[in-house]
Amino acid sequence: MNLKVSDLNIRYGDIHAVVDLSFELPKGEILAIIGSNGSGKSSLLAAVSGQMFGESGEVAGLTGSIEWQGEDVKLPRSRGEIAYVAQSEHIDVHFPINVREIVSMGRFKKQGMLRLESEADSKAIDIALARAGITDLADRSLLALSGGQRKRVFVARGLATDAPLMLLDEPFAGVDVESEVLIIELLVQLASEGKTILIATHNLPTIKTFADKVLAMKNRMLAFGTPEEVTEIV
Amino acid sequence: MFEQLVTFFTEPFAYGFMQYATIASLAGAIVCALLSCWLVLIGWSLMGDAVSHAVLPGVVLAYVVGMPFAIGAVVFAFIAIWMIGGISSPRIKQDAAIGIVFTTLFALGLVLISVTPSQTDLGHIVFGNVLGIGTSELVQILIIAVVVIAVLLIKRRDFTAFAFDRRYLDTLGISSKRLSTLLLALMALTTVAALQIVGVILVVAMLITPGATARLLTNRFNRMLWIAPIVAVISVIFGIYISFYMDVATGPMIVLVQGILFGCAYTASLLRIRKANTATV
Repeated sequence: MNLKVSDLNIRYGDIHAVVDLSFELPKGEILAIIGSNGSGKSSLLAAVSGQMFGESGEVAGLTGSIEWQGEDVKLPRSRGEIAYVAQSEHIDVHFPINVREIVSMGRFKKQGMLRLESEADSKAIDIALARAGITDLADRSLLALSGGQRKRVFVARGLATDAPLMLLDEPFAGVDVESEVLIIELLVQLASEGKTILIATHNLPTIKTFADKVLAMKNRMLAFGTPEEVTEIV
Repeated sequence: MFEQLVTFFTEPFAYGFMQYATIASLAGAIVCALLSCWLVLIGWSLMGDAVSHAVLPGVVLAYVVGMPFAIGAVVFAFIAIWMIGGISSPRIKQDAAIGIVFTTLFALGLVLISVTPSQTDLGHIVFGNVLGIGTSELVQILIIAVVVIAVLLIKRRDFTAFAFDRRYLDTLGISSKRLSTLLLALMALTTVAALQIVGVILVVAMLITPGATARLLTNRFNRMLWIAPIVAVISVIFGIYISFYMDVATGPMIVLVQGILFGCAYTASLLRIRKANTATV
């Protein structure tokens, strides 16, 4: 099923962060969302993931669509259908848990109230660690990892969710070349397996290597199309 | 010699009030220690201070109308949190809001105590009176301890994820707001258990020190959940013996021992860091 965003508006007080945004992304494609700081990229991802209320508009394509109509807000819940990889600046790298425990959080929605790890959960976590290339780092804490390795931990947590839609906010910020290449290869592979992926990024030179579509925005849509089409316009 | 040793260790417990005090202190200290592991990681130490002081008027009013202390405490804990949230703004930062709300509610509690005719000395709520704990108070502390420990253990992984990355839980469809509310309710209940031991003023020590001590001694959260209660139990045992033989206040002595253990852990962690740095050089 395609991901369809219709007439989305997001406002913080006087600031209109996202204005009348509409686009459609086919299943199994990667959309790169580009724009300067404050252009509404993160707000768009937060709205699609159900973390933030839109003022109006609709996001459809998940099992249950998210719809906002002014004050008549229905609280959106992703029900484990979205893997969200946030910018990790707010994370406390001194927090006393290891990489495996962080990745295992991606399985919470598939576990009962006690969050007991089943055999299927353990397998999914091991696979996510392996695909992100961090199996040998599983017992380490975030403090002992480089910026790129930390980012791969959060990508692995998203993978463990096994969600059809994956959202990544600036996955290449502060990342070494090795990690960037690995993350890009992984995302392309995931898309070929049918996952739909949205990536907010500043990293324009690499977009052509992974994106099927590009959305250029400055609060409202500036351009939408293939990387070649958008590069010509912007 | 052996007989003297046995007498030394058993004599305090020849008295019923000391047995009650020990059981109540152990239960209260263990539940506070477990909760403190999450509070120090979330950064809610100041919130613990605020809630523990702000429950005072609720406890006094509950006494006046004959309700369990816990109900009044939980109601006023949430009134305090609601007020802190309402007052906090770009002009009034959260720490200022916490300071204003908890001192105002604490003052209200003290005023209510001063005008409330009571058979029991409500002043004990402020400074604690662990040696005066009766059967009903002991039962209340034990029930609170069992309930809070059960909820903490059941929601253990959710609370840890909340402390680590609450935004991520929301993307999974697990409400961080609900977890936050639940944790605050547990904090209010725990405060009720602990204030009868050390009093409103020193409750915050029991809600912070064991978790902070454990954090200094390990880099694994699961180990913190063992170390913090062990620190709390050692503090209670030493606190009770010292207070008995030196004839000093029991609740404050327990808190003082916790502080000393924190000091030892802090020194040990400094030495460990220095040793690691020397090895690197």
